[in-house]
Amino acid sequence: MKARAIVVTSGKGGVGKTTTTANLGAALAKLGEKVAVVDVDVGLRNLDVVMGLEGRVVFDLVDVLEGRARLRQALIRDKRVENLFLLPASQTKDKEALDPERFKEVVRALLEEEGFDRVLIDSPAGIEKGFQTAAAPAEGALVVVNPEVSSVRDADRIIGLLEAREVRENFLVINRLRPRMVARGDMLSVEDVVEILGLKPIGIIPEDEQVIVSTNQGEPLVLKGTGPAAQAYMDTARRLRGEEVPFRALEDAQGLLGVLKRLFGGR
Amino acid sequence: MVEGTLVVPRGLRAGQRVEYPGTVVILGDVNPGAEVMAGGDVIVVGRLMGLAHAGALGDEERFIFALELRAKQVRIGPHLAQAPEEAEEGLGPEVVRALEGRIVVEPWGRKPLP
Repeated sequence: MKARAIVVTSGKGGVGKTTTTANLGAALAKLGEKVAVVDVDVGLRNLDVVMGLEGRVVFDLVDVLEGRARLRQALIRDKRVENLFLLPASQTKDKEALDPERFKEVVRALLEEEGFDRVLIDSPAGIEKGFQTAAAPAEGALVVVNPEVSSVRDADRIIGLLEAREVRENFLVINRLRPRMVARGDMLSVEDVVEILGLKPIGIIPEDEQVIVSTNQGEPLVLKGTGPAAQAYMDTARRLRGEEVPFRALEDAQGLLGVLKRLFGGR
Repeated sequence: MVEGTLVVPRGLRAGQRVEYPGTVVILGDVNPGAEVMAGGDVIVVGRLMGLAHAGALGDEERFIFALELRAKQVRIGPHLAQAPEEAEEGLGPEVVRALEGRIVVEPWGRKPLP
């Protein structure tokens, strides 16, 4: 993606925006970019928790927007990987504290004065002020969608709003795909989702229990680097940087076992 | 009562709504959650998956045309119909109109449009 300021959004809550932001941020940093991940979910912050940086939050985005702290004071450097920084959200203010014009200024300062290559903005759920602010500085968007009708519907709504705001470089991250359910016809397939939304996928992330484990441990999955979701996030980051990375055949362990059992007539 | 035609040169996404007193032509898909309200006819050069209302000001002589009809509900004038549970797909272009107070869906091309 050419866009350097990228909003990670979905419309619907709970589809994996924060996990996606944390993992792509860490993955891009691993690939050598200087990355800032910014939490705009003011009042319900959790990017700091997912990244395991909660204890180091002193100043937050609202402090910067309202002039109580300088940008550099609020940025938290992740010690596990070079060049990864977090700008946390405030837990105590609400989304009315956000001024889209001031936020644009902050993102511009990150890119032009602080020397960041990429800014990933974790948008709150919904289409109201929090989203409007998160999208304000964005040149591109990653729309996180689960293969499920209500998530697809909300993603479609969000894409319409992004297009109306002239955010043009938009891609899908299809999250929590369960290949076995798709094979049985019990879940929307990648093709179904892409057909409705009319955007290209840049990432297809299979459902993986390791995601929950790493979230609870506060360490982005890609920093430990095994398992299908970690691989899929690394692939996504590479595609985001413009590399040609083919999508992996998605077959979870049990699915493969099932195929082998069927082949060999196992009990 | 000819009010002219509005041509929308793109599809509609969820939450987007077009309202026009005359006929509306959509050059693209009408996605689930999008709405087209026309005083005249509704012509969808694409898949109709959202809600369309032709003759929304009360004219029951109006029709809805879509290259692919996948709407859960359609409305003509004061009449409303829901799609059957097990709707067939891939039937090709279809026309929806009201005949004697009932909504009828027919393949396009057998009869001239009204």
